[in-house]
Amino acid sequence: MKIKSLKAGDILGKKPSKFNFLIETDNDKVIVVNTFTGAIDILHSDEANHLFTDSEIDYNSNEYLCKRQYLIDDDVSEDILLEKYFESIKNYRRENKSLSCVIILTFDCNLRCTYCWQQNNIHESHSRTITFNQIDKIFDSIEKLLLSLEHAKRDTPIIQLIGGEPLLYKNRDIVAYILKKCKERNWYSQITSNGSQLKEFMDIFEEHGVGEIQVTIDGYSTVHEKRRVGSNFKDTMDSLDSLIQSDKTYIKLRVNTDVENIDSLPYLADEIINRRWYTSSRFYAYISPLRDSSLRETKLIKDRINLLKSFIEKRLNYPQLEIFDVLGWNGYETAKHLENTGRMPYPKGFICDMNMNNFVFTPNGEIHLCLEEAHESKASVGRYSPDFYMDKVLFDNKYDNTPFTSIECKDCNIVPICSGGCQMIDKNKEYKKEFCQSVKECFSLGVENYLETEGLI
Amino acid sequence: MKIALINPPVESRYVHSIDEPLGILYLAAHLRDKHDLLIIDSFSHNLTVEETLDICLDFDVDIVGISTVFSTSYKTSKEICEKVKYERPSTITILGGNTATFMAEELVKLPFIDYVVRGESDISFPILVDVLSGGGDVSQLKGITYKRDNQVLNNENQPLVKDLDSLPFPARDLLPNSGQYPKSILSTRGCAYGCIYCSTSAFWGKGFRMRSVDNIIEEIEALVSEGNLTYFSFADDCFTLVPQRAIEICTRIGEMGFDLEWSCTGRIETISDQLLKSLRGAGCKSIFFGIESGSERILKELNRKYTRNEVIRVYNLCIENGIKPYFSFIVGLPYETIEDVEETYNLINMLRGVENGIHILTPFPGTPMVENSAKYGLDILPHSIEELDLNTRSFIKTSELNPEEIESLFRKAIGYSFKSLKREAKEVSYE
Repeated sequence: MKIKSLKAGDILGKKPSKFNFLIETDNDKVIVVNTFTGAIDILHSDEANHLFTDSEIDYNSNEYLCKRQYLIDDDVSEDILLEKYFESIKNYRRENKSLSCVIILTFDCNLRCTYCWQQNNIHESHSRTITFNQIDKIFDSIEKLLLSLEHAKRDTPIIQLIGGEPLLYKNRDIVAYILKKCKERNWYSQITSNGSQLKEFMDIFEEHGVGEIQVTIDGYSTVHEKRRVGSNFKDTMDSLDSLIQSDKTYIKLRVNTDVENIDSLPYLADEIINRRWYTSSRFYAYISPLRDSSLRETKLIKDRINLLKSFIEKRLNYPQLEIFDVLGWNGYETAKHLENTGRMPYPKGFICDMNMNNFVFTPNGEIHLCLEEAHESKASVGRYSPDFYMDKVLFDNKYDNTPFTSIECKDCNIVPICSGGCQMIDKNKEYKKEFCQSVKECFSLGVENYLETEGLI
Repeated sequence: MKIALINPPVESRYVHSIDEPLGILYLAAHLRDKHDLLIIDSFSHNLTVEETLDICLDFDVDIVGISTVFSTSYKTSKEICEKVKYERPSTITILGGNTATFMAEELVKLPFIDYVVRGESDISFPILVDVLSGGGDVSQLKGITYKRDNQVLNNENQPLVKDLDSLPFPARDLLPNSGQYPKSILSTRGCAYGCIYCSTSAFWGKGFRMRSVDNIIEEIEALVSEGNLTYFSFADDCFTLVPQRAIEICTRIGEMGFDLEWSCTGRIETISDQLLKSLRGAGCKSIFFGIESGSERILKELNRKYTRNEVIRVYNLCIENGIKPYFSFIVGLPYETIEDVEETYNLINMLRGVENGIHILTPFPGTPMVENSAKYGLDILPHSIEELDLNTRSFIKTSELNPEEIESLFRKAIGYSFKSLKREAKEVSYE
């Protein structure tokens, strides 16, 4: 599989669409996708070449390429079209997105996962836990944000508790306090946890309720415990079992995946099936590639395509892996939609949390727009303590930073499907280069896999 | 007498849909004028055995009647009886339902279970209660198993209700929180097919009894008049068994002029475009089909009167007519090889965008395959009734597959079922 970069050429008053994306297959055919219109065709190589050069092709083929908008009129500006489209959906999407309020209870964690970028520089240096007074101020701030945002869904906000590890025994009282406040206001609560101390919180969940708990694991028993130093796989699974049976909380199981644990996934799928979790409408499992949020190393991002390939191949022999959704492989998401519906999805416009009414509250009293940079004070856009304050300039810079503010994204032929990635990645150009390549590879793999499965190539 | 009719809890539960416990609601309709009744739906309300017991004791119960239909509530049914007897020894304990019927002797041997009412109990249970309340002799009563002088006695079977129209409608008004339940209607009793893995025919008796269309419409009208009926299901084993009758019911529902939505069960060979159009026109949103296998060879072994192509034809017709089909398959069927199961996978892959339920062949009491396992080449391994569940373990060694292989094939089938469900429904071309 090769991916070609497109060169614009002037052909009979037409020009190739800048959003044409070509994937060469092994059998002299080329898959062409227009990432903006969603058109997909399988072309002979000479037809595809026509999109690169002035080479002659027959009239019918030329007509066809025009009709499918791989060739467009010379005077059409696709940049303007795309920008208008993005602008038209921006506020619509914000208005349909509930306010997402992430409360970092502490950066402290009881586990020392071998891969965790937070391990030494954050856990120890930021181990304080948020206070009751701070929680009161956060809830007051959320009320103010709800009133002040021009475009946001006016229903109940989503309160997400995160860490470090939020469900540490020492945090029992503060977790109970937050859930109680959510219940009183009928606000939806979510907790993201490593699951190791879930059982210590069951009584609190029973008393105050919790809308959703996401537990992240690292594969099946042995590999999970090896990587999550200090964890007990069975304890975590048993606690999840109780929660699923109680039918009061939506459970998400996220499986961090990399080359080291991918072979254990079939065993994990079997365990989930044996436990009958798959029959519950309140259970959802997905795999996601392990990522280095510090963006220091590019190895993981470079490995993504191979990891995805490996998973797709493995799924042929172990179809039980279908119980896992596949998330986090940027580019593949679009192909997955194609696989499931036979159609390309509409471009999303942007996917960065910072654009989408997402607020992060830290134990230091800061308000951020992104969890990944919440440990850096200089990245904050305001404070909730001692008093509520939002810096409009800092906020607007992040909130309205879309793919069009990045030069690389603006000229990219897959920006309609990638939607520009996230702003954190934009800060590190070397990492971004690898990220963009990975998006293209994952998208191509997904499209090719879909067409092969359907017997079309 | 104070009678508690109980839909028992299950030990572990992952699916939390609620259904009207029609069996005990029919019994309640017979008993309501003579006795003080309390219906406890522990299953739907996730009550524990202890919570169920507390409610019984607070009610100062004289008779506990438990509907032990499923093997998953076999253990909890026994526990309720044991605990209620311990707390209040004078309480009379009576079990009924499929599982209780086929385990009657074992159950009655237990010191804390007094009677099992076998099979259809619309006649026998009220008579038993009358006799017990009058201090009479039960030895002449039909359809019961009981013990006397440490001997278990099985009285002769109770003949089935001949005229289903003569039965009162289920006493839904006695069900606590009745308004929360999606309504279910039984338009027939029994099944004409006698599938080897199903105890319906043994429980309801051979043959298929139908209520008149007038009687069914009357029940729907009663439900509508009680208010807020927007959705119901026909809980029959096969609603479409007599297509012309199904069409007639649809016509009459349409004539009622209410905006109703409902679901039913069907059999592939009974489905036509005309029937689906009638169903859709009357508000039918979904139909459940038990397909069992994608292998032509196995379908023949099961005496099925349809082929896999006909399954696809029906799937296409349902999609075309805007009715959502649900399909169900079994892994580990008699004579099934790995290749046969792969044919099932293949069929599931084609049935996109719909739920394809997957189950393991399970030796439920009273099923033909348990009664005559050798005939089907099945070696049924030791197990307890409580362990039986369609979705966990295999207790059967077939002529082709051992339990471990069956469980492994089942897990793969679950995967294909997920894959299929993620896809958008679309018509499938077939040969």
